[in-house]
Amino acid sequence: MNKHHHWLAQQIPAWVSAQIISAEQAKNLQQRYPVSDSINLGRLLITGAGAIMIGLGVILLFAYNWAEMGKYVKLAVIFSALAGAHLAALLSMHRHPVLSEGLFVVGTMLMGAAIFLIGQIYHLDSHYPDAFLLWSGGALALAWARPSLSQAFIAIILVLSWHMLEVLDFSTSNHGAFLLIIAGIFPLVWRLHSPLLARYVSIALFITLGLSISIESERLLGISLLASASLLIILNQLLQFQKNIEYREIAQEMAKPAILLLAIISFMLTFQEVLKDFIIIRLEQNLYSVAFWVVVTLSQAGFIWLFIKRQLSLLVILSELILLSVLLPALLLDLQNIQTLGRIHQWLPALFNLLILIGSSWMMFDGARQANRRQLVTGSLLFALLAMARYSDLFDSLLARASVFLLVGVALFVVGNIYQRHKKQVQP
Amino acid sequence: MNRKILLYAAVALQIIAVASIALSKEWLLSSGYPLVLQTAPVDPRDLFKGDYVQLEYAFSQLPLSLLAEDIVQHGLRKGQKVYLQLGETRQGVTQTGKAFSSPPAAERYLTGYVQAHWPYHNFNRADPPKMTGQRSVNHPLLVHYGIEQYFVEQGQGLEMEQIRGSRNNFQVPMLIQAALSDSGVAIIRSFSWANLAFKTEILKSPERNAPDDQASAVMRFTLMNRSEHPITLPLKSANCSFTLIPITSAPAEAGRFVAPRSECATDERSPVVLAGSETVSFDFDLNATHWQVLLKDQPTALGKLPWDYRYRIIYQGEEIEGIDASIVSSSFHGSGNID
Repeated sequence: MNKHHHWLAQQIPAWVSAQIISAEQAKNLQQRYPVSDSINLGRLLITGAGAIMIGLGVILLFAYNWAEMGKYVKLAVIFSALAGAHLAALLSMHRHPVLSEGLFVVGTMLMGAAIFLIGQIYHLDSHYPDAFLLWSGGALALAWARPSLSQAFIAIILVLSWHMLEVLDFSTSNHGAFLLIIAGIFPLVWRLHSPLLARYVSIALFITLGLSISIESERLLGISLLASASLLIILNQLLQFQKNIEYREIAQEMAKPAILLLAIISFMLTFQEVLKDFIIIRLEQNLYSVAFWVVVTLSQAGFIWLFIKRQLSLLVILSELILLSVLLPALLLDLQNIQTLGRIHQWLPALFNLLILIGSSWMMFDGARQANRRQLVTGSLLFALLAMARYSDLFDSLLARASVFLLVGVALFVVGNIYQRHKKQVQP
Repeated sequence: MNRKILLYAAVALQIIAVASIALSKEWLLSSGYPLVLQTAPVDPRDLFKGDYVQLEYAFSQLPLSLLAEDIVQHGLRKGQKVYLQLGETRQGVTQTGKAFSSPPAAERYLTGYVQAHWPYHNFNRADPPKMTGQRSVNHPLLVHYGIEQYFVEQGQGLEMEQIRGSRNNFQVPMLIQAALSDSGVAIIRSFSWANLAFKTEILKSPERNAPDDQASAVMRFTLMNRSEHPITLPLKSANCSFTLIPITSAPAEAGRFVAPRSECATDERSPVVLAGSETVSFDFDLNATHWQVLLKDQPTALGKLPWDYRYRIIYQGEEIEGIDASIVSSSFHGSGNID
């Protein structure tokens, strides 16, 4: 979205000159559609990737661990390189901003190299995830001080690495990672005016949340992720009526991973065994059960608010339908242990099969009619995936299986033709 | 201006954060309590991973008998801290004692992290009665002390492997010199090779389906003096300065030998002087009645025991002057299979 802001920022002075808008209106427009002071993302990505490669090269170079090189020489080399990279970055900051950004990234990578080199010199074999936490702290400090998008992305990767090592290697729930992303990285979205960062923060939050729950309350994993995705989708809809366009863009970007997660979960719920895992939950007197109730309450309050204000979107209704279809049986089973619901996992997947079937068909045909390639491809993939998933567990006879293939093939052939026809109409 | 200061501070933070680690480790190296720890004789095939030496100590696996009561009662979760009591130095090596879940008062200790839930894999903190009711305590507690890796130049690991020796040859114990902080954190200072080398071999394997009194192997344990100076071994006669001990992962019953060794009732001595590069061998016929173990209250030959009943030969006589390592063989099964 920032490219539109850039275009607008370039146009405004011309509009003022041509007296299309007043100076005050120009100022209002500039405030409403701010242009972040970050440098070109493409150049930044290439420079950042180069800097990361240099940093990794240095890490591997030191990993060789020359016996002839004394430990104080090794320390002097790595600290000189670290300080040198930052010094060069500071000196070139105003004249060569892209180079400076790259040098800061090299500096942060060298910080990692220094941490691992010190571990090597002193034969440290203690709690190694701490190295990633320390490293992420360095990246985060620079991300705030610059402010820098590339440092923010490095911080996300490092916090996720720290969290994964803690969870997978040490079986700790490591709540600190979630809090660090919320308190340390998420506010950078505003500082950097970067909705793109918001999307990756959202992905990181889902990953940290999922991993932590899998350690502490495995029985709440599926339903908690579903409720969280639903909350983000509802929040996005609520914020679409905000005047501030930046809030709207951030909410949209944060909702994108939630929509993807919702689609994945919906697809998974077409399988009986997975659905069983989702609805057999165990609410205990722990942090995750409390957090689960908070998320569910907030999302339901948001949904009611949107309903009263008549601002419900199709996506919100869909996410609410999916959430309630799982949540209500799960709560009834957990709280009341109602026996009649004991076999619900056998027929509830039919609902999700139907949902995916209708949803994917609609996406395919609507995408073809609107000549919207992305929607068409997503719908077709979902449709084909559903057919493949049901191929083995629903249809026994070869005749039925052949029919499935024919049906999918014909459907894809038809929508392909509709798309081509509408595309020609749309194109001048 | 403020933004510039913030930027300088962030850069300084990166440098200071890393430098502080190096400084704290230098401080520990210069002021820490000196320890010498002997690495356990392990199969060298698993020893080297890339460019570092993977070290294992006898106290990396702690059997039930070396766990304090609170650990036995409540179990330990992966990642939890344990505190290993440190004792006196014998034969140049720091001795270790029991492990506790809180620091033992008025004693030096080594802090470690539990590597796997103990006593069983699916540890459930929320359900302690289940834990005490159904646990299996046969498996030792696995602990990591942060001194299990020794980084070397790429390729140097193989040279060290050759010095260390292979299963069928002399093996030289690697001694780790470490510095210990008051909080039990250890850091490796350097390493050295012991001046004794050990070789464990099978002198005679039992026949297949042999009767109980011939079902076990005859083992030979050989010592070599790697130094240039002669070493006097103040040995008792009839190999009575040596005994068999079960490895830490063996079941507790593995140490229940049926009877004391009658030939060791006397204090008869037969010292041996080992000149530089000289060797001396000791043979152990595991078919001897005193090596039988009470398994389900039945005397059982070592060669007939389950595969996890494995043993080492250790020296347990008086202090030997001039050596710098504990005398201990590779682990083996009574039927003669050497690890």
